Amino acid sequence: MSDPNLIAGLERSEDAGVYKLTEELAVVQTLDFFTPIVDDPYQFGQIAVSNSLSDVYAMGGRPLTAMNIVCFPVNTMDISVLREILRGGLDKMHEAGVILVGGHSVEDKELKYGLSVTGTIHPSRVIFNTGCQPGDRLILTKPLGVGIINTALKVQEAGQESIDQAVGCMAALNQKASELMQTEPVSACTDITGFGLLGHACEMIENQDVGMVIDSAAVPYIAEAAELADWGLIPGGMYRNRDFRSHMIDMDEAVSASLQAILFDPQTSGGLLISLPAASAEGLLAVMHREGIVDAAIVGEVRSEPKGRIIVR
Amino acid sequence: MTDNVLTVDCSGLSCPEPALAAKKALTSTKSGIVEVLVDSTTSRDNVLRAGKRACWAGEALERDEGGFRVVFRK
Repeated sequence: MSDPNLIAGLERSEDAGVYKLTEELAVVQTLDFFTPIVDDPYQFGQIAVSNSLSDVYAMGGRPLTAMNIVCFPVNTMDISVLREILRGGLDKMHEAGVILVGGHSVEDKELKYGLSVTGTIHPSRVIFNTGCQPGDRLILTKPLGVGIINTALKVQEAGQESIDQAVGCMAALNQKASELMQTEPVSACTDITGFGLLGHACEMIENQDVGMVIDSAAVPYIAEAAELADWGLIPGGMYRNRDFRSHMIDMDEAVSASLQAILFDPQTSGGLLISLPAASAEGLLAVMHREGIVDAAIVGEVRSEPKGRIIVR
Repeated sequence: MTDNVLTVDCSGLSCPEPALAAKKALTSTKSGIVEVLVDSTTSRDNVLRAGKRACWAGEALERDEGGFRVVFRK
């Protein structure tokens, strides 16, 4: 069904739906929920909320209200676990300036938590996944490797410092990065989640008149992830991501096997990947660093050739 | 004379457990043959990575009954 007011809907793999209400105002909607990726229920609540809000931030929108989505094994799990999850979530919503207006819970064998989010955006200032221009630089705002760290964590192989770093990254809001990018003439943006950096980068250029070069040495990642990847502590999602997109990737053989895995590593609540003119990129990066987005880095650029392909060097 | 073969059966285990089991076997064994039985291509590839990291030469063979036998020699 088509509607002249629908700005972003099902037909494109956008991060959120956008519907124009007036010439000045559009509503942004998204929802996401998942099973725990960390043991601490408070941290899980924070991560789930940060992840759910990220889709609004990736489009340049401002989340306003949210509703809890809860699946909980009420007969086998202590209700205090749920309380901690919701407390973590609510604290993160407060940090984001988002108001919790309701929610729904169902009994389920497996615990799940997330949000349905409503936000606003100016109809002419929506930032889509596509629209990268030749010459653009690509800024990534969070380090990669959290999928590998989470996998190693399951078998007690990840170091505490790496675990803390991964949790900190996943729980960090993309709010500031989104607000800062809106001060620049951004061509396109998405957030890095389950498909990994290269998977989401492919979405930005698929069937477009542009390609990309990713400078693997410039990509920020949690240091221990490389060693853990060498030991094969890699989530199955990395292999699926790689197999799904390998036909679009020209991988330089000099890129180490561990770094290749990191580039396809599925992320939870990952950073924004922002495409913007070269003249604006260094300035935005400097402001991000000053504002505490310390891992942000320019990781590559957009080229007119090879169209629809990504060179990783 | 045949070398002693240490078999690590990871059938039924999902990632990352086979890779960790391979790491433990390959770092606690000095030489000989270590074979790791796995169910999936993901486990196969992860176990091969562990072998490479532990400096063992490895190859993966498909099993008639399904899954893979990853054989390491040093």
